[in-house]
Amino acid sequence: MNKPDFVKVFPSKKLINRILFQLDSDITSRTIIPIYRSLYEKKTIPTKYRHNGEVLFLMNRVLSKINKISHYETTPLKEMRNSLLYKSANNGSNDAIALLCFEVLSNKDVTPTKKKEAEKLLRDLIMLGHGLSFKVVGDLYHSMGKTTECISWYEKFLEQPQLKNELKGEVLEKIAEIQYKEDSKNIKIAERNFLEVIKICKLQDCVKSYFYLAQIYIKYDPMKSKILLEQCCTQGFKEAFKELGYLEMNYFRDYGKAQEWFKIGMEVFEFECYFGYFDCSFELKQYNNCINCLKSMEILSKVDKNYKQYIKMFIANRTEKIQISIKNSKSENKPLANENGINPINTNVSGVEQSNSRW
Amino acid sequence: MFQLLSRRCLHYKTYPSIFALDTKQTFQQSAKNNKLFHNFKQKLENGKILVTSDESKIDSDINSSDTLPRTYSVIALEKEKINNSNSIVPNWRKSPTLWFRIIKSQMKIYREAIKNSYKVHKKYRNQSSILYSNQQLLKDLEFNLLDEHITRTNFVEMYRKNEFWKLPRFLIMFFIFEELFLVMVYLWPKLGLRSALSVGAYKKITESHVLQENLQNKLCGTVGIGKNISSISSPYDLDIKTLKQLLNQLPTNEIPGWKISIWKTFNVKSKLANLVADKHEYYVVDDWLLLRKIMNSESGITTFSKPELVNLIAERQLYKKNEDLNAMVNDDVGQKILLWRLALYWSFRFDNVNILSPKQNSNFTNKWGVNNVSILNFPGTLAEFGDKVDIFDKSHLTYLVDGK
Repeated sequence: MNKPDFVKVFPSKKLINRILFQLDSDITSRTIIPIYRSLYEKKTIPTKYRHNGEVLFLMNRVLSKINKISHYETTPLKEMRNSLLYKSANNGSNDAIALLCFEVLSNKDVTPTKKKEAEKLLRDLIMLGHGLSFKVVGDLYHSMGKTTECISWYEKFLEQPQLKNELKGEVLEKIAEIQYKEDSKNIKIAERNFLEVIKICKLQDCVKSYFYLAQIYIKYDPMKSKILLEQCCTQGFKEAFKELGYLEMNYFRDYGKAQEWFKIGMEVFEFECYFGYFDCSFELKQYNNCINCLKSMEILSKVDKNYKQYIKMFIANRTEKIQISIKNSKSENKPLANENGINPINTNVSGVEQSNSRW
Repeated sequence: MFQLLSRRCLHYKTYPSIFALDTKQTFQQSAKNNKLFHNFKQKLENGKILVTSDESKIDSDINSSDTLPRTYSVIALEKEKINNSNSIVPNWRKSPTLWFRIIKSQMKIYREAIKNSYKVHKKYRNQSSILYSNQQLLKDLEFNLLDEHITRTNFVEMYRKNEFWKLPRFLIMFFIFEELFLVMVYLWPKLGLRSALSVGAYKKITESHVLQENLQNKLCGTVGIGKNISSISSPYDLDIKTLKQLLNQLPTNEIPGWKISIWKTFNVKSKLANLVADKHEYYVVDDWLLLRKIMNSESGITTFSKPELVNLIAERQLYKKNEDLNAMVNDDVGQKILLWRLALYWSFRFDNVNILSPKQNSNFTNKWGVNNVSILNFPGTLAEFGDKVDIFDKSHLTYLVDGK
């Protein structure tokens, strides 16, 4: 099967230039795009850059950034990114070696011999005082759930001079996340760290910090929390939709806005958003939407056993509301049925048919 | 009778610790399970909570008497001095001497007030307002992370320091209107400096802040008085007219009426609702800081100054129309009533709240919900079998004695 054209697979030159600018690179897109093309089409790298580990690592970082921005990565780009990381590590890029070591050590399927080799390499890099290696070790402890060691290594990383804000933010965010989850006594330090992160990083790089801050403020400053959650939603942070929806519904009493947030949450199958959407629709007297929502929940309950249990509880708690919805959706449909000649709906929720249903 | 009340209490999802003032029996029954009430009762009966006018005895970390008006009338005091049998002033000179002394004392009071407001302003000029914001403090209290250096005095003085900004206006108006300004201050006492207010002027202000019954019903009627029963009432539940009315009634509100009217005219509900939420948090933080001190007192004794007690009652609107709080605080029975009003108010709000070391399941917001304004300045007491908000009074003092 023929490969798709490079232009179709690869992002625009404009985006690459923007990323290179963000990475504060001296190399332009005019230099690296032909290398990407050669790697994609011929599986080779031009001789001039074949042994230049730094350029190859930069290209790897560009691809990582694209992945981060678009929240999606095609197979050819992923292959290219991995191959670039491997090649840059082979050509002496310490950053690449450290990242590769992390991949090897965190992968369960890798043989112990390779793991030992990676461990040795990582130890050598630490002895050399290589900055990123401290973060890699911290990440490894984080994945193992050893929080004390993890924080101590992250702190060592933060002591490095001339750290880039992006990396500093990422590490600070992880430290704050651990502090937030560990003990309520650390909440003040965690808050300070999250605030530092949102100060130095771009929104897209620190959505989690915004979300955690919103969680901290939700009981004491709902307005601040709402603004932070809205920022999370602009980045498509899944968990933020239901939080914002409930905040709008239960505190700000803006059922219209809440319904919109729940609707977006439902589109990404955030389960609790269905409950919120039902309540909002009921408050807004949109009984047809209530019935449609129940129907969608029923379909969803077939997917997961837990969902089934939650829906059962939800229905038990909303019996009265559901009955009112069924009763009123009938009367809402009556004139419609007369106009369009559609039969009135059944009393059974699962039997309700809607011509304009979007689910 | 109690059965009726208790049946209604079942609906008061957020009113479990409400006190019934109908009969002694209903009162004792409703107070039976309230641990904080019994704690207060013990403290008050054993003289662990005191009120004094002796400056050396009051607790400096909860009282800020310099920023509050006096509780005695200067005129009455000077009159008493001059009419005293030991007075050497001859009869024919008594009247001019009296007025001379009154004016002299009044001038001294004003001088002190200006000096104190500048002193407090200077003290907190460089302090971060974020550190003392209601939201920040409430969060710190709930997570048990409050800075040890922050006391109740610091907290209230951070608000009272704003009195300093009245000075330029006060002086400008004095130069423009000269003698007429005194008449203006008499008519509109809020123009004057707070700590220089006379007893009469203070009464006038408290009269204007009596929580109206219809407003009280709108606030807690959503929960308590058997109307629209719901568990939590956020400030956004109230309509804009009620919000405006509420803010104009709240003694702690510093936003001028014209600004509130503009917000109401342009339908900026969020501004008004956020302001109400902020005031609600102010009360919670103030209450909590006071309770921490009362419950954590090393000597076991907490001493309030008279002006502070009057201010506590006035800010929380725990008084009836025509009541003179300054007269009450200078009378033993009146003082007892005021202390019990506070005790019942706190017992209602903070029962089952871990005041000294709150945990996530035993803190204030967990009990009442986020900014639940249905309890805003609710005295914690109901009469007429739960149908009317009532305030603890002299006739209710007998309820506190055990037995039938």
